[in-house]
Amino acid sequence: MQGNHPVWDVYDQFRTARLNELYYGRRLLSYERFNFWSEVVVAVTSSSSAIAGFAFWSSEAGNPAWKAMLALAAVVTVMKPLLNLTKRIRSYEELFSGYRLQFHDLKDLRIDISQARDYTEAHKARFKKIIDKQRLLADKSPERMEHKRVKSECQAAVLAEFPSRSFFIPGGRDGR
Amino acid sequence: MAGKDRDPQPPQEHEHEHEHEHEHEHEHEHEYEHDYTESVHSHEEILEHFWSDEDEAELHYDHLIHNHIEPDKPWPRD
Repeated sequence: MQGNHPVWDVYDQFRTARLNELYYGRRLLSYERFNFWSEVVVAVTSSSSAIAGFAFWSSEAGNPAWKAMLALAAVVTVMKPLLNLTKRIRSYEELFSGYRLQFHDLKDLRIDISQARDYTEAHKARFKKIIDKQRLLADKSPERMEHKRVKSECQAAVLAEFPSRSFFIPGGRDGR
Repeated sequence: MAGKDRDPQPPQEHEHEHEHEHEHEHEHEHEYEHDYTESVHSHEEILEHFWSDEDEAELHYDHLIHNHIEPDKPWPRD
């Protein structure tokens, strides 16, 4: 059966690498946005800020908004060191880049398989090398806590991008 | 005996070494901040850092990030 062909391991890993790339890209973006806006709130409400001197903040409409901004800035100032954003963003950057490169390695392999119209021993050796690197990552995995919504959106995106029919299977379909 | 041949280190040297270590730590912190704010690394640089065992201490996985996402169910093959 074509679904049992060993080349599917390559394609499964290819889609999983893409899933990880998208997932960590999305998580990185969220934290970067949060970091940016928290910096903006703190900068705007600081006493040296030109915006803090606007007469508008003393008006009836502006005063509650200003108080809300001050409260938000206070919360952000307390939360930021606890969240350890710098470290977190750095780790997300590393993971995102790691999976992006792995995805490109697998993409190259996929193209080579398709070009050769076969899944050869050389392809298997290359795939094993890529998997070995993956194992190093998995060994370092501390715990499991996923963002379910982001993950399911990324899964759907991967399936739409790479449906099963888009892969070359030696000896089957168009690989006959 | 090899141990007897060694001169005991003068206390000043100890202090100096300690200070040096401290400075080094400080430099390291600075370097870390610098890395992030620049945030421009080539893929090769990041991966070299990422895969290297030597740099294990540099990796910060002590938070709620786990590093491998598997699909909820196996990828479809038909």
